[in-house]
Amino acid sequence: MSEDPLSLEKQHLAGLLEAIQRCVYFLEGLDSRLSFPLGGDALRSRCKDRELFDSLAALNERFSKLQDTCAAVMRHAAMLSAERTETFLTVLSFYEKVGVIDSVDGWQRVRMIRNIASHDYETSYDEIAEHFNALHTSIPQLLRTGVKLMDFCKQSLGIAPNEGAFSTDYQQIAQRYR
Amino acid sequence: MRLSADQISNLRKTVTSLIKDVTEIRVFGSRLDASRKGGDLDLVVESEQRHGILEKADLKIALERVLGLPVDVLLVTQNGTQSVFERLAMSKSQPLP
Repeated sequence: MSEDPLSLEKQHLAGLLEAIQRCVYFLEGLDSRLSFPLGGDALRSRCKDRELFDSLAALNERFSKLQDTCAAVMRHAAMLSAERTETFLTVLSFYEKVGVIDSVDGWQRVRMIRNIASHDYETSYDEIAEHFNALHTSIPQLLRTGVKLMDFCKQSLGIAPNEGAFSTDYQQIAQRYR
Repeated sequence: MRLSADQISNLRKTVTSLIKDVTEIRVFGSRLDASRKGGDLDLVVESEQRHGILEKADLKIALERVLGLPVDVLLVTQNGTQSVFERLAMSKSQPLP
């Protein structure tokens, strides 16, 4: 007997929500261990510091992962809410209306900052510092979006993340971003 | 240059509304090649003062919205130090008519 597609959609969303918990845990943890603002001179003087540059590369990766996972959740949750989903801009407008994101422009700006860095990977330490400072400044906004999205899914759709290793830590972090 | 008169006018309006001290707008890349179709728009925007990543993000969003195509922007400072890539782009660019 074939499985109910709606049930599968809900299970998939619960898995994505668990992934958001994990992303929030790692991004928040990493960001709080790094010292901001970064300066070009400081990066230049530590240009062979593997630990520092590994951490910065991880910050990029974790930031992108959280934003991409939020976007995937937005699409699925909008679909399950019977909202229009023909373009991602339509989806974003819905989440602006329900207060999950501050504004469509704000979401796109954060995405653009991340994309600029992935295209123009700079060899100028001043510009590398500027990029990571901009990411750092955007992290609270992204974490707030992740938390509000989780809350929306629970309150509006009754879908919570799969129980996993990150649940307790996530709840502690989430309290600071509500 | 494969840009319509409307696109050029909208492009100029958008850039000057966001980068107040712009001194020159130049186009480089595939939009200068008449034998090609579609593609991104590659721009060099030169200004008196340096503008950072946040202004670049806002400019890209505004341009992509108004032009309806992917846009890459290099922000360079008049009389400022330019990277090798920026110099290369400048050398292959043409001023926006």
